[in-house]
Amino acid sequence: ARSKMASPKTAPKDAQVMAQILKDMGITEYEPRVINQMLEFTYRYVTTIIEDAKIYATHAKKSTVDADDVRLAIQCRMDQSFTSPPPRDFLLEVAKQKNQTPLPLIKPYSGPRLPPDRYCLTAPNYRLKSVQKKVSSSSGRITVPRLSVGAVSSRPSTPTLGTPSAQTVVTSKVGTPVSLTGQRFTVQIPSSQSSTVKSATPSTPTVQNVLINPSLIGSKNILITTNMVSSQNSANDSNPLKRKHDEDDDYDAL
Amino acid sequence: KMAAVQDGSIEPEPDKEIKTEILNDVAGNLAPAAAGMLSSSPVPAPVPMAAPKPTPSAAEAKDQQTLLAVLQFLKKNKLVESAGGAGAGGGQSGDAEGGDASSLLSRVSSTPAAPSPVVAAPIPAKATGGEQPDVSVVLSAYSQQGDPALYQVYYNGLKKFIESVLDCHRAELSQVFYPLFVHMYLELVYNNHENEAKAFFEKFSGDQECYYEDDLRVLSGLSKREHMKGNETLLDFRTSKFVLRISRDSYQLLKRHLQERQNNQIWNIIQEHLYIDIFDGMPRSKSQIDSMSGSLAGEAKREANKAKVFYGLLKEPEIEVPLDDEDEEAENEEGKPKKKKPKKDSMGSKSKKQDPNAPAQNRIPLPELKDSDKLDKIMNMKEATKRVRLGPENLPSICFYTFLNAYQGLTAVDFTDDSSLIAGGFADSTVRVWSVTPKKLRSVKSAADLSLIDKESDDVLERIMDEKTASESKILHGHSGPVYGIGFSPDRNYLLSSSEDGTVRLWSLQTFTCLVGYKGHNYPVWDTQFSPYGYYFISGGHDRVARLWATDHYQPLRMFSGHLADVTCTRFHPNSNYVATGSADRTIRLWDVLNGNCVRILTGHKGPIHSLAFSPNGKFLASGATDGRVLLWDIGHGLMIGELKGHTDTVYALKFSRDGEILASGSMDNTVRLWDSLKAFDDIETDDFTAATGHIHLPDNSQELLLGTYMTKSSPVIHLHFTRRNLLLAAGGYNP
Repeated sequence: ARSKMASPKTAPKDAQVMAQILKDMGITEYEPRVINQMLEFTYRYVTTIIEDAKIYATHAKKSTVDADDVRLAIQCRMDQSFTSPPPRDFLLEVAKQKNQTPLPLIKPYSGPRLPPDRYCLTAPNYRLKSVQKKVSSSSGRITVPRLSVGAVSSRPSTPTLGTPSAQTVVTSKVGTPVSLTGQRFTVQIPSSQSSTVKSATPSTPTVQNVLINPSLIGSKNILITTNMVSSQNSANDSNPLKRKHDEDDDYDAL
Repeated sequence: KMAAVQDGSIEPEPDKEIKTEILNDVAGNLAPAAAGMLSSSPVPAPVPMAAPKPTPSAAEAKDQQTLLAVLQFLKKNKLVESAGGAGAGGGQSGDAEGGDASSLLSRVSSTPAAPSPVVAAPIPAKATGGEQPDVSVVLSAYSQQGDPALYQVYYNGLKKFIESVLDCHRAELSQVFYPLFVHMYLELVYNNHENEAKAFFEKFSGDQECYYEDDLRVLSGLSKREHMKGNETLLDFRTSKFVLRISRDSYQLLKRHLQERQNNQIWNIIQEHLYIDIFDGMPRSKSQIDSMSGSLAGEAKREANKAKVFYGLLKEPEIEVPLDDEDEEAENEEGKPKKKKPKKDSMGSKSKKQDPNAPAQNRIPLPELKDSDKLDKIMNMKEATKRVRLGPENLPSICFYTFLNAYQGLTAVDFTDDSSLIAGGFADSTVRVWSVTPKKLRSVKSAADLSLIDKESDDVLERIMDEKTASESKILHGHSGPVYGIGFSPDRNYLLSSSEDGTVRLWSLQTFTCLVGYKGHNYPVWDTQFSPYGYYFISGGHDRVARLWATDHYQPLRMFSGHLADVTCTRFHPNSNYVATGSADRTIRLWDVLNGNCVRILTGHKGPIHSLAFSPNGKFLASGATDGRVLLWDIGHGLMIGELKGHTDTVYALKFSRDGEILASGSMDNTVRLWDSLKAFDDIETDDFTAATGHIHLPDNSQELLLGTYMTKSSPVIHLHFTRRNLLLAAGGYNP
């Protein structure tokens, strides 16, 4: 990769401008790739603005793009992507309102204190495909861990005891549905049981393909569709970041 | 006559004849009236507006300027009338008229160099308090019309004056330079005088204090008004008052000089943008001023630090005794009156005296102790008996946990209180938890398996754990941006993580899954921490606000708003009643959890603050910033009591030992330094003068207080933790 980068003396003019900007802003230490990233960003930003400006100009039935169109394009993009935090007087106003309400009393002995279920993430309808932690054959190469998220098929209804609603199960790229090989997991244990543990997916078992979640309502209706589930032994080492490149196809299938 | 003038002003397109008519009409009254009206305020009468200032621009522009001045005078006049007579109704109409006038102003003035944007700017937010400054600003800007080069002249004049005063006053008056420079520069940029702004900047930016260098660099990149729009920090700077503390003698000198005719421009700016907190007494020396200044908002006003702060600790409940006795004691404590009463032993309380500086037990609702918490406390006390007594003769051993292969991706670390788990937040948006002890991490079994176990067995708590997936580390996925803040809960059940994606996530350490995502900041959240008693937690982020949450509310309970720039560090006080926030505006604020008020503003750092630590007794606060200094503060008085120099790079980690004898600091310069905090806190002089005026005289004893410097092999230290037995643990990512 090093050989691809131009030496400073023969760097293109834009790259020199970027280097000068960094110098002006007082940044003295940076990786050489930063200049490339800045150039890419500039190119993308300018192209987007000019394309938008062209659209506005044609909408206004003008033959050429002029400064007003560009100005409008910049403003619209600014409101979309480069937002800034709310102004101070607004924040002070909101804070004053919020701080007036007294702190709520704490109910005693209420188990894990969590917000109402609709605001919690305790009922995920997906499962993360975990990365195999074998010793990487391409050692020395820093690779990005890929996460594939299983396709959403059935939405669990709120896991309170109630009428088990009909679940429509939509599967994607599934062979014949095969019964789970003991990899069940629940959304929430209903309160008929005494335990108050909220369990969720175990994170370590590896699955080969996309797994659709089951949802457990009451104690009975388990609607599951799965693909082949092969659990493999994953060697967990305590080294923080041994990464392995994963396939893209599962990710793209979403 | 007033009616005629009023008609003229409401017309959307004022005719030239009417203008000249108005002019002739009012000209006679304008000059003396203006003079009379304006001299009632401290603003001396500027050049009488009646005679339109001969400008090089066209006659039309001249008339416009006149009209502007007339309208301003009208506005002022109306308000004077309403203030004198009608009261609220009159005030309303006066304001409405003023509103009309200013809107008309903005319509009339089409030239970019018009002063009207100044009036229509966010400044109306404080227009209610400062009608006169508005007028004076407009008028002064009017008088600058077409001649921003005068800014340089004025600044130069002030510079010469200050250089000529007596030595004792010069240091104090030099404080004026920086805010004045920035406001004048922003004024020029805001009014679109780009070239003059650049020239002004080039000429005078070198004179400023070295610690403002970063700000000046940001300013140098800002040459157009559009640049200012997105920069909330700068807008806040423009609309808030920079606080200066000057002795009365120096102030008189300055005032006398500036009220002479040719210097009123600067006087106007000072009036509008600066708040001068005058004190009686000796002028401060340069070193005293330097130690307190550096923040984006100047120093703190004296009354900002006058509120009473309950910095004492809450009483620990007795737990050796069986449960019923403990309830009795709790009741006793609640039955006691608030701490403001002088303590009397005849209250029938237990042998422990009430600390007058401690908050009441029920000042804020706190969760009750569960059985597991009580067991934990008993463990804590047992460990405390085995605790090593640290001191200058007895330094702690340091165990450093290096994160390998993190490639600068390690952004946050935390230890549990009993030092059994370590969690790391990474730039790839994962959170990883490791077990420090040989005991592996186990998560709870799935529901199907749980239904199979024998619930009556004695070791049911062991059986619910899944042996098959036990491992030394667990990875938690969920964030969509780098994880900048991490905090364990005191009961080891939960883990918090805050990220660049704007959310704070609560993870369960029983199941190693995410339980809740708290959305509120829509911008990166830089830090988060649980309260020492659990249940509450705080977060601070890029939106300049720190929020207090409870785990069972999906919205924050308190919002601590007031900082001018990002909140980079948030810490609870040991008694959970106060929250300290350090910010990129170089101030530290202490907030009251009960009502969200800011009770202390502490200035003195010269860079964004990245670490805060409360002493275990709750009285003192230590802070570390990018300038490499560690500052010690007395919370009760709101004063700086110590300065520890030694680090050469940002101080990212600060921790007091368990009994407060040693302060450990870890920095980006790959060192851990130990400081003698007992000695530092012994040397405080808090006589009445110091407390009243906030003047401090810091002894330069950093060298004596430094007990040891320990280098790592190119691993910046980003977290420190004293175990219950006073062993120091440190953590950082290897960064060759």
